[in-house]
Amino acid sequence: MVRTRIGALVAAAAILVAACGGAASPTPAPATSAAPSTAPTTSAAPSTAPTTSAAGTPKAGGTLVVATPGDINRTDPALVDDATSTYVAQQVEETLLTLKPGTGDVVIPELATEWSVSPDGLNYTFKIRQGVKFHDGTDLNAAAVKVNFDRWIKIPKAYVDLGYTYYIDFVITAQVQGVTAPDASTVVVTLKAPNSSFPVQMTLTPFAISSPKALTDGNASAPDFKDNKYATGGPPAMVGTGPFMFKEWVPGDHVTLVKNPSYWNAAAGGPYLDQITFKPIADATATLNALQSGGVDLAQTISPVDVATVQGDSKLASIDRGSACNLGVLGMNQTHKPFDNLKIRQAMAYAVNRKAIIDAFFGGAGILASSWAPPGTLFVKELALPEYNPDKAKQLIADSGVTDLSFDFWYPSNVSRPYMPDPKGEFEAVLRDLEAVGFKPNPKNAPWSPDYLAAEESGKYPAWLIGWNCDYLGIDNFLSTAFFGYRGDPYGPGPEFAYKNDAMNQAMVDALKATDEAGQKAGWAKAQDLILADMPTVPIGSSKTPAAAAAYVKGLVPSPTLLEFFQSVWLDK
Amino acid sequence: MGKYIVRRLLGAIPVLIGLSIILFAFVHLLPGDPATAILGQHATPERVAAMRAYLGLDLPLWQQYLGYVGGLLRGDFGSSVINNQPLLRELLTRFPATLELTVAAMIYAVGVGIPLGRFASRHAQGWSDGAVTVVSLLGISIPVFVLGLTLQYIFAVELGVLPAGGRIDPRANLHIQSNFVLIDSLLMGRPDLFIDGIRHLILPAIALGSIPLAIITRITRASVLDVSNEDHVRTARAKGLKEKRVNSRHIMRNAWLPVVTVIGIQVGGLLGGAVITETVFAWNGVGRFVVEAINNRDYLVVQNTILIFALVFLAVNLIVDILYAFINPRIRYA
Amino acid sequence: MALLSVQDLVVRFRTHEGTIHAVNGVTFELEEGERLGLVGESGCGKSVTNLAIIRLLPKPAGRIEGGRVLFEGQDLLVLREDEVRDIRGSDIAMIFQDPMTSLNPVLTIQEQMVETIQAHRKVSKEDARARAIELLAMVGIPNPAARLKSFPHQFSGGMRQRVMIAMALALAPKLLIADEPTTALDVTIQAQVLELLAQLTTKSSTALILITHDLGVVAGMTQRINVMYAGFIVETAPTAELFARPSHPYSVGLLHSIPRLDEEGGEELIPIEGRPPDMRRAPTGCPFAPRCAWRVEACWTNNPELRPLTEGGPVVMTGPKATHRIACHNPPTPNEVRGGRPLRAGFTAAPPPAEMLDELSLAPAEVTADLKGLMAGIQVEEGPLSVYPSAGGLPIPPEPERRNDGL
Ligand SMILES: Nc1ncnc2c1ncn2[C@@H]1O[C@H](COP(=O)(O)OP(=O)(O)O)[C@@H](O)[C@H]1O
Ligand code: SF4
Ligand SMILES: [Mg+2]
Repeated sequence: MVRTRIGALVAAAAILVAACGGAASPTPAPATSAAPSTAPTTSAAPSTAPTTSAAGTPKAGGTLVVATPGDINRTDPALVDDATSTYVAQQVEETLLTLKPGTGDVVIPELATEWSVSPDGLNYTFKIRQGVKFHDGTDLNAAAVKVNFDRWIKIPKAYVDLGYTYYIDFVITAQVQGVTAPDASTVVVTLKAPNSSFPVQMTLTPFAISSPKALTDGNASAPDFKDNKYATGGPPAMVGTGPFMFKEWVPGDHVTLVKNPSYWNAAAGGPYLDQITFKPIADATATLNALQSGGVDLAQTISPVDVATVQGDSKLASIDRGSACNLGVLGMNQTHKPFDNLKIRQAMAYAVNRKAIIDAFFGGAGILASSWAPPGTLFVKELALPEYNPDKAKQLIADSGVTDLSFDFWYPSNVSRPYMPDPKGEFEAVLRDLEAVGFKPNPKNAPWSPDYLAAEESGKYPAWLIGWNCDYLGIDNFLSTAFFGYRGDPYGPGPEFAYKNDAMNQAMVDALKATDEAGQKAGWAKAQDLILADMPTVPIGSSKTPAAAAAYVKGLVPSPTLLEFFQSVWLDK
Repeated sequence: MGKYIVRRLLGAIPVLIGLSIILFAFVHLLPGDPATAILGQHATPERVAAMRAYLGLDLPLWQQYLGYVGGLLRGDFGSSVINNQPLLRELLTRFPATLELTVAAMIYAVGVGIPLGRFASRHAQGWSDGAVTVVSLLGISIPVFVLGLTLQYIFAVELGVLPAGGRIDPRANLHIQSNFVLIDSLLMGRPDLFIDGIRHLILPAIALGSIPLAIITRITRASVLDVSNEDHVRTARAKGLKEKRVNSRHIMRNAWLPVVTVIGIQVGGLLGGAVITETVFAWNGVGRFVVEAINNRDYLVVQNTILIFALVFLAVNLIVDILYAFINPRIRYA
Repeated sequence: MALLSVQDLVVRFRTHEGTIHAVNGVTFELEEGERLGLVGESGCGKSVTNLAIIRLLPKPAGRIEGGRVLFEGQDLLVLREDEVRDIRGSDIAMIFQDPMTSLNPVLTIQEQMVETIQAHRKVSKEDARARAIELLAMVGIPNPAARLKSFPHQFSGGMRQRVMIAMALALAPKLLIADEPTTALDVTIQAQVLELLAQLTTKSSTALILITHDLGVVAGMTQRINVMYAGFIVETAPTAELFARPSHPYSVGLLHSIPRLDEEGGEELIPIEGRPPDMRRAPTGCPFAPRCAWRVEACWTNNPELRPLTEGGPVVMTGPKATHRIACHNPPTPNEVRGGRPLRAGFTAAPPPAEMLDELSLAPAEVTADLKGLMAGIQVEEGPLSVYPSAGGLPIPPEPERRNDGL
């Protein structure tokens, strides 16, 4: 099973936001109420972006068989957080907002036709698209949306205890105060504290809108999860408004979706496929074999090592997702010497040949980091990160005046992560680079879970390899949630990096609070510039998730976060 | 005979108790806290506490064990952390797939292994016997997943004659009723899907059956050779019986005994092989269910599935031993 | 015409260790109804000879490499496999040594008997069953109809051998070969089984070849005896004659080495020194030479033929008047027969020729060691000759020490 997230960093974002609103960091509300809606709004239906596959006139019909690395976990999008479950659910249930196909940073309306935020950044108003029907024939309207929000807000405790509510926990429970539906086409979501990432979060599949009738019929809020049919395969289950309708889930074997013949956005083209069948194939080589033998048409993910094989096979096409939603870094902790010294941290950045590492250890799927979030993230800035320059590094060391250049340098064993496919190999390369400029790293390693993670999280390591698998492609999820946001009690830098820069934290807080794009952009840019100046860690790179399909599969728009909609997909055979 | 069965059943009890303790200990000996392992490193303490309570880890150890065993005795094998469904039901829906696969693998292993073993015994010491020995050694030494992927590559990718995985063409929309693909296809009145189901069975059955095949071949060869040298076979020939009858009634009837025992052990061993085969061939059986549970850190599921595996293993062995007693009058009438 | 005529039968086993010269030109005949004993130490080729007759040598090692086996004038060795199969079990039946292992453990007695009958006669299963019951009753198995359903392990050893006899006689064979039929049985049971065998074969005038390494067994059971050694017949004579006048040093040794039930002090024996020869080497001289106290120089190089003990007159092959023949260069005198050792003054067994010693030293160490032991063991001992009467009139001398390093 491939998870989109590293683990449950449930509280981090919430704490940050809560702290913003609290006394620890008082922030005056914008004095003037500027334009009520500064966020982009449009009433036009989103149109599917041009496909990356060869052009042609789409043909209707056929079954698409998709290999997924694991089975889905549940049939309720609200209660899943893994890549496979969301990959399936996003074909069936739609969200108020979504990302423009193929992008990670362009938020567009979907079931909402427009949205706006109040000047205090607390009230988000969504205009609900009219004339849309759920798969069970009931109408989408503001009341239906409110039912969904209310369900998330009052999600049964048992579901939380079971660990099914990852996204609800930190997007809804931590942030949402309440929801109202003043009229049939308007929904207002009130936040506890301003959060400009809320629209991006609303593009996440867990916040897809389900048919209230189906939720009731499927007992979707049953206090005991065992009685919940909606999440366990139904019927009814997974009843949304999307281009495909849920037909069946045979756990472990397959999920079948069928075409929605009366899809509201057929004008955008599609859906063309009669049916989509998702088949879990856990083994990477078996997936490739299935693809090559024609048993499956599309593999949601393939191993980076198989990309060359796919490219060499004329019957297959490899799919490049352009960007990724993870980032590996060389961690440094400023409570440990010599990393309290800025010149030393900068020297580390110049010493490491990051490009060589990406080429050597990321299996051709690597992207060299240009900031502390992957390219394609909204508000990410192309920074002038230090380029490999050992002489410069030596110079910086000399300038620093630090003489004791020894420190413990850690890497994890028993693990491979997307942002760190080969920890040991990468570690050895970094080690050589560091030694070459005069550092005296002392190689250490520990098993990933729980030792390594526990130690690095609590700030025990001076230098180490670490990274982040995103929850969503939002810059806050990297800069703040994963890395440098102030947190906790007392309010201040987390122990992991012990990187203290109040101005940097304030820039992030401001960005999250800003209700206008310019303010958000400025805040995130400032934060990134400050981070670059302080060089708290050395960002190395990300690895894209490669996919592959039979050459006759057309119209797929690859997405860095796997938010790929099969509405536009058709079979040229 | 009845006494024999009762004795065997009673004998299984200490084995099961021991096993339950080992499996129970397994969860408690894991490095770190299972609740943390499930929730991830960044979970809040309240969430971890809730998960610990859900898993029953907040009770004293002896209470946990008694609760666990009590549950087992009531037929409650717990439920999966992933979807909270009763484990037994989850296993039962996947069991037909595993049964179909293991039966096919066994048909292959027995159907090929016994004739091959007999062939080798007839040509004992000859080059063809040597060839059979080498092939069966290979069968034992090639890891199942390597064999499985190789078969996939040759027959699905290169030759394109058999499907690479799955139980049935996913485009065929088989209506699942019994979960036995071969039965469901017939229930649907679709002989074409039945044949498709067989085609999907071939490669995984060969992969899974290779080790039992090798072992059955060797034991058959050895057993036939052994029995052939026995006095009563000479008696049978001295009575003027036809060679065919000597082979079937006098040699094979006796040579079967060790072969049946080995087949029984192999059937149990197939469960282990199924874990790998099912993963390689996207075969939705109990074996892959365990792999998924391990990946999901669903410890209770892993623990109890292994316990059920052990139960099946014991049951299979008991059945085989009864069968053995049935074909061996020296035990039946002891 | 004799019922059975074995002529110059040669059987060898081709094994990884080399060629085993199991039977080296055996010739003998048997009349209808005649009872012949075949005696000799274990490994001398008795079983192989008889397996060769019905062509059941273990395959693929065992090969008949020469000779003819005429049964009612027909050479069995040239018959097609299915033709011999018709004879096996029907005209020639066989009983083997170990009744515990000679019956198929997983089939009932009924199945095993019925299949024998049905293999040769077109009869219904019911008729075959009736015949089986009759046979079991005949061999003295109580409650035969019920016992038919039993499996072999439900019978005692003696009972199983009775079943074997019943099965062998099921088709009224002309010749019954009984290979050590009582060796594996308790002494008390032995006598009963032998009695039964004698009685049944006499009644049906079935010819019998009784194989045994135990002279006591053949004494009362047979009319004629062939003594075998190392794949050769070394002496043949009517039973009484052989017991009265054993004339080959090996027969003499055999008679001196068996316990006699019918006399006191019978346990005092002279075992035959040494072991049977290594059958991997084709014998050059007399095969018994290394163990023989009477051997002369010629014995090492010259294998004696089977010749009438007393020259003159035609050789009679069968019947009570069969010619007493031995294969020996230096037969013991009657006194020596009684004494069990050479008594001629100054006689010493001839030492092996030098070149043969060399050759022998090349042979496996064990063989050489045996030989050296022998050289020491066969010094002629001087002493008074006392005569001990025995049932067969054979005097058995006392033996000062019991030596057990022989057989
Ligand atoms: N299957 C066999 N393979 C090789 N040698 C054999 C085999 N059967 C018998 N022999 C050899 O043939 C010789 C005669 O054996 P056998 O006739 O069984 O002796 P016995 O006189 O005790 O019945 C022995 O030396 C024995 O080792
Ligand atoms: S005397 Fe010579 S021929 Fe006669 S048995 Fe002894 S060794 Fe053989
Ligand atoms: Mg014998």
